[in-house]
Amino acid sequence: MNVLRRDLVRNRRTFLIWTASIALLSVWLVSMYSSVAGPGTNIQQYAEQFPESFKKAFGLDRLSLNDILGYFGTEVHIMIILFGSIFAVLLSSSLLSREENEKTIEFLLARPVSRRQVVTEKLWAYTAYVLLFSVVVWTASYTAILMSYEGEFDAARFWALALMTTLVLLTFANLGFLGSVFITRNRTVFSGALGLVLVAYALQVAADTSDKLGFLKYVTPMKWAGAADVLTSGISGTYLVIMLAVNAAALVAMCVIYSRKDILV
Amino acid sequence: METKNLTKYYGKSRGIVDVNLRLAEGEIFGFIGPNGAGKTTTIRLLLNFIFPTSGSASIFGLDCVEKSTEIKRQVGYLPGEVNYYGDMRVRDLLEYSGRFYARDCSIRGRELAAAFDLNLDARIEDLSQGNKKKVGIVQALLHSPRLLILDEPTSGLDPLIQRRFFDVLLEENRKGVTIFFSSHVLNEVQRLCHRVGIIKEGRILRVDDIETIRAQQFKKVSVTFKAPSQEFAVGLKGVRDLVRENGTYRFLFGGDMDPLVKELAKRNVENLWIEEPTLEEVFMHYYEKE
Repeated sequence: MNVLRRDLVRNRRTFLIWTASIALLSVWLVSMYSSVAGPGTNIQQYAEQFPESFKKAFGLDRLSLNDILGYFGTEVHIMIILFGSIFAVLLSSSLLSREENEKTIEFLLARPVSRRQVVTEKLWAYTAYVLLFSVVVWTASYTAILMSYEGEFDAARFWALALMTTLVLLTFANLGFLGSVFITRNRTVFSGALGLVLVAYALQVAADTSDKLGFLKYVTPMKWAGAADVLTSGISGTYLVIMLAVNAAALVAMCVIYSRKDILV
Repeated sequence: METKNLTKYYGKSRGIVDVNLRLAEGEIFGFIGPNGAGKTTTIRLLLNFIFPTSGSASIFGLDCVEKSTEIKRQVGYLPGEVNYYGDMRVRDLLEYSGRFYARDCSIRGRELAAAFDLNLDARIEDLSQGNKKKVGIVQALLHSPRLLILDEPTSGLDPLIQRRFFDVLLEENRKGVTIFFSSHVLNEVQRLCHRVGIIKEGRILRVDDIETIRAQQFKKVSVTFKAPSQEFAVGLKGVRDLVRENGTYRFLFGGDMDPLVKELAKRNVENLWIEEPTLEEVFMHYYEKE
């Protein structure tokens, strides 16, 4: 509990800043919707003018801007999942790599605490913050929709998207955590984290726009919480299974590799 | 504490090779060698920061890899270069450290901090290297360990604090604490240690009682004669590094004392010094010889 508590305190500010910014941004984007659209207006017609592949990339082929969830899925969700993933990866990958960078790992490992224990507590630290991030951001978004939108919407679909997105953020966090065993230099960690998320996003766009590259949907976590997919066809069991497998593999690999790693600082 | 053929290679480059050490409970052991000889590697292996390529090490009869966590409950470690969380205050760090051990360390923490004149409210990032080292010392002693592993403990400490530190170490040793420390500053070994192990290029050259090392080795002899032109000591067995300077002969003497005294007795001696060499001098010779 000692390491967990320390990491929660240490990353409190980072967590607060990210969570507050994304939550506010989401609330602001949602509340903008009622000023541009509402019952009786047709803003989807503007979207229709875009080229087909562009529409596909944003999910506008399957979602309509004429209802709030369509707008949320195409305009707001992408921002939550992109920035959320970056936050998750940066947080999880920093926990161990920072100890090595600043050479405090020597202090930590000289305490009577096993490496597995250290890994487990750090895992809980970022999992807690990623979950809290999700709870705050999605609750804020939901509240914003309730407050500003007068029409009907399918709350179950909204929360399904929230759930899948949260799981994807956790997946990114776990991958980042695993990556931090191999990459420990500060600057490299940062660009690695950013790269992971952006490449995943690029792969999702490729999977959505090209039939030939459709298989990529099994590769990129971003696609597993694609708004157009979840909002039109609900939670996919296939993606859940893949996600479970990826996360389990990442965490087991993490534990095994880290408990045998030479720590040279 | 014991190591058996402990060997560590970093890829192809050598860490240490076949290190065999055995420390008895309650002794102070000095681990001496030049930089890069493998002192820190040995310590990291003992603490399981790194894994041995071959061989094994044990502390309190427990294997250093398998039972590392149990071992660390009773080990205090002072790293050569102290790095702590910059955002913490000294008090936070000591509390954080203390919470890992199943005993209340707060009183001892305050005593030690007072003994070393440490400001508990200072931020760690604002501390000088010497003050960080003091935090390191307090942190290593905090939980009353049975074994202290100290890597270059005195670098960066001023002489006053260094003396206080040694007093504390001797005090701990009287209570039965075993101390293993590495150094390349030989005078500190001389003051503290019961036994000394010398490591060079990853291998242990020898392990000896500090007295044996000094006894076996040379005496430093300086002699001045009233009639300065006399030839002296040429051809005498055991004389090394003979220098003649303004009528004073200086040399290291490692042979039988009796012929030397008899040789001196034949002459008119004005002044004579026979001194113990410092360990520094002993080891310099040792390194050069090997």
